[in-house]
Amino acid sequence: MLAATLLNFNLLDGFAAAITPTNIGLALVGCLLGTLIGVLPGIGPITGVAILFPITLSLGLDDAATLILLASVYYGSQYGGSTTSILLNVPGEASSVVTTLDGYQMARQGRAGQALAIAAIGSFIAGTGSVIGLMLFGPPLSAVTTEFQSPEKFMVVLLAFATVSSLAGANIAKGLLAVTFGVMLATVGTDLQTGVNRFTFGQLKLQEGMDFVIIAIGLFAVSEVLTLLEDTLRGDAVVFQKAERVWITFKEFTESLGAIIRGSLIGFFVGLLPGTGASVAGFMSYGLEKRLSDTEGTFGHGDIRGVASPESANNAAAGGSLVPLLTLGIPGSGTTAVMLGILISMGIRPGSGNVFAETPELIWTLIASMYIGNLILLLLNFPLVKLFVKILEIPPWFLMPMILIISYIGVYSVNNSTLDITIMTLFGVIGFLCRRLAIPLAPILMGLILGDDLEQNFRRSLVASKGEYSTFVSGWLNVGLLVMVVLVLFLPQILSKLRGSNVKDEFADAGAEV
Amino acid sequence: MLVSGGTLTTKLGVQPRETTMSTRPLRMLAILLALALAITACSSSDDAAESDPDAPSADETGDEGAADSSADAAADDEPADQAAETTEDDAGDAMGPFTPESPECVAPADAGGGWDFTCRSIGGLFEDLGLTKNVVVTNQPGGGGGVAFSDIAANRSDNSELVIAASPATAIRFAQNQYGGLEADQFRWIGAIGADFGVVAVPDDSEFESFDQLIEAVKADPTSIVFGGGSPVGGQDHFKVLLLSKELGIDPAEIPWVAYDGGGEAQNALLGGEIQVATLDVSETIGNENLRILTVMAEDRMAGMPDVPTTRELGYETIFPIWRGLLAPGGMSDEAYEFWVDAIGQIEASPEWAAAREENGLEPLRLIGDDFQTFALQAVADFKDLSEPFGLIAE
Amino acid sequence: MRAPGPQVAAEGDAPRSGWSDRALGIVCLVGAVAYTATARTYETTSFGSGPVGPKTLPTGVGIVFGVLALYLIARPDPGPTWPTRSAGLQVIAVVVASYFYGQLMEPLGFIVASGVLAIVIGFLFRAPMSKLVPLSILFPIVLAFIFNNWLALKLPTGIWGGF
Repeated sequence: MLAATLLNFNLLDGFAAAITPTNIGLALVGCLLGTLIGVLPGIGPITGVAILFPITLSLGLDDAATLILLASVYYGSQYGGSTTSILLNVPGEASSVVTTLDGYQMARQGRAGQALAIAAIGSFIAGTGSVIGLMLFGPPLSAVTTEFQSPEKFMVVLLAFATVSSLAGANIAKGLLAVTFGVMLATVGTDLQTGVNRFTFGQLKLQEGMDFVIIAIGLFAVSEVLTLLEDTLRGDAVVFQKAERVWITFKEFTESLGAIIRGSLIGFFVGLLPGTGASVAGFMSYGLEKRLSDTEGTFGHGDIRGVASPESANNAAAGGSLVPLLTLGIPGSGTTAVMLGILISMGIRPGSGNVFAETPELIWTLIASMYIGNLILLLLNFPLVKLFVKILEIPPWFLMPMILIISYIGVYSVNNSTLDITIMTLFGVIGFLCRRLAIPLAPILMGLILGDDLEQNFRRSLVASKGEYSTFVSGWLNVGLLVMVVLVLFLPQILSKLRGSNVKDEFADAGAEV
Repeated sequence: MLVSGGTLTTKLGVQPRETTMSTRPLRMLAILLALALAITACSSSDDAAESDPDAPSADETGDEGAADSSADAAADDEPADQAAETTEDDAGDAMGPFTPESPECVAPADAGGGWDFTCRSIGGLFEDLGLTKNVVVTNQPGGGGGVAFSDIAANRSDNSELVIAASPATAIRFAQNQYGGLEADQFRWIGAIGADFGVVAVPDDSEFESFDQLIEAVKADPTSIVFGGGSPVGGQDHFKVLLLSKELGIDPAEIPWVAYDGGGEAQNALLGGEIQVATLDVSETIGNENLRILTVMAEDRMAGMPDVPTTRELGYETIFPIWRGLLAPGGMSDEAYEFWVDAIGQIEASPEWAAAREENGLEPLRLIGDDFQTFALQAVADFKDLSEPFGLIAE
Repeated sequence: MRAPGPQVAAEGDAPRSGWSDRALGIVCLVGAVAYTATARTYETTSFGSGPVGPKTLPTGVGIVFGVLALYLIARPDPGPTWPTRSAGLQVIAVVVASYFYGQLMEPLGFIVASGVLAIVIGFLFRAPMSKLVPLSILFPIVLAFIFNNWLALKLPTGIWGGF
């Protein structure tokens, strides 16, 4: 059954259904609209698609057109999120945190255009790759998805922690302090396995845990405004250097290609894992890329590969998460949950037998739509990059209040809580102090994102195995992942020994400030 | 707006102080903003979307009304005159003297979840049927609804124009004192008009062919079979197990139960064999051929699952309807309460709601006014009785 | 992200001691103790099946955090360059303005509150007032328009009345 589906794919039919002048126009509108939505912090791809879905229904479009419009909105808003990460250090959602590390540095060095361009190109290549992966290996890969249960997911999270240990900063103790702080934040809220409220102190608001977006915007964007203010007053702030070029050179492209391909592969496979995938992909691919390629300590200081890698991984993860959605009917992320709703309303029930075989038109139209959305976004990128780079020429005295207001109101508008503004400001102060004290910020967010996954998967494993710790090393997959954790942690030292260089120097390099 | 944008550019044509401060970007910004306004002005009429009930069904798989389930999130701003056309002549009398000026539906969760769906679908029908003006939907997430409930109780408790979306998750959280000391009878329960139902699911290659077979196995050794679901311990999915085990006389604490972050993850665990049985909802599992649904926790068979026996058919008392309803602040006036009860009754009887309900896999249900108030308070009391022995009630 | 790192005292300045890191270490240590003590109070419900309960991970994390704090107290980095008093005051001014922005947004409305915030922060960033004031008025109006009419997200109207 699977083999037949594999050989019998009908992507061309999908394209034929998808490519009409109207649909291309819709894709353009969707990409633009999505970009606008994505630029607003707190309103990411999920909310964007959720908001626009009923409106598209009211337009009376056919299914293909609806899918194209929504796919374009999705890609557009993801790209919009990357844009603010790069230009303004405002990560609108978990997946774009890593992009800020090098992207924003590039923007400050007058290379925002290159960063935006490689983000779009990387996303396009990753999107293309994951569509191909989905087409060729979708149904068989669904077996991989169910293979990854709580013990395996626990190992994947460990692996993510190991790969991003390279973000620790100059002082390893401070890096660890930051990660630990993040994990502490992650323990706030109702504990799933017992229903106990932890560290909520009677605050109902805290029962659902710390809101990632609020903390990320506080730590990154608000503290950036505070830091820049102080720098300005000190008189040593050239906030943004003037851009010389707004597009990348062929050399920059070839430099990044390796990072893009590796990021795509990691992203796609991590994306297969329901629940864990999307947030881990960017961190993991960035961490690995830094381990592999950061020979000169340029990561964290505006290395173009540091943008290419996580952006590709995020996009590929989105493709990967379609595998469990379309084959098993399992929504692994907020976005795929929304997508499942849309498909059901069109009369497709993923998971019912084989959707690839039974409702091929719409499934292939969906895939073709995603591809078209991706392509249109890349083409739009040429004019958009020029426009976006101009934002940086807005003088700081107006750019800074703009960043603050957009950050505050973006979050307020979806939560209707002024307490969120206070929390963002508080984390802005914490971020400001951390920067001064050389405590890296990214590990705090990483701890926050992954801390809950780490604990819950660990405890789920033990409940399901009725207390047998051997569940963590039962099966080749667990052992393989454990070996990878060890390799990632110690490979740099081993490699540097082989190269004959001093291990200590390597550590100093790896500890480039983040 | 366009004019002010234009004026701005000329005003700003002053030489800037620093090199980074060229006037061009400011002008660009002004033009962009003006453009945005222009587009907005044009498009806002197109946006007058009918509230579309095609939104996929979703449910608060966790206690939190998790927003991980599905879509539908645009408020509609349908012109009021169109609504007037559909108003029935005698509707005015039926409605009584009260009519809300600016009706609002609070979804105590993020956009995209089950409570959000309730507000947007039912809220849209209030307007479509000419019962009220445009109902504004406000999302107020946090605390599994607690943030919204405590805010409303503290600041808007006598508001007659306000309704709040509710489901059994609401009742469970009231029962477990998770709303900061608020009690269920501090609110007025308006009505529930549609229900999803709990299911007991196993993988399609499971050794359990029937629900009775599963129950036999659980009775023989309650610790032998691992259950799981998409809510925290003590939440909606776990309660399905609690209710069944109570009826069977098994200590539910003996049954291993793994809590996942949403029904999607629980299904993956089920298919991968980490858990042997999952307690989910009809809307989450309908049509998924990778699963075998052993029973629906209801009285009558589901239209979408005609082959699956219900718990009542199999001789069990336990049912688990996941009703979709509205409640209101406790200080709402009697006239207003009667208005809302009457309005939701009209919606329940309308073909529009029947269509929306069916598309979202909800079964018909009509529990309005005092009937619903009694039912909800009884449900809260029952949930409380079940929660207490297990330390699930917050201090 | 820009993290200046420990801006080791410039030549000519008196070498800075590690009091900053020590102070941080002490704060973290107090936090770690409070966190761990709180974590110890979490008792499992009847269902906390499995050997690891709700307090295990927090306890471990709290201890690690405490040990790291002790390490910082023992081996502090040289202190960073802290803001001068006037710069510090202005940073605090932004924080205070942001706090009141949150507090006043609902009573004043989004447009008024945002306009005031933009003017305050622009002023601190040494903006030319002739440009700052009109921009600070226009920008929130445009944003409010987009949110209210385009994105169907309601912003507080307050005294302005809104759209």
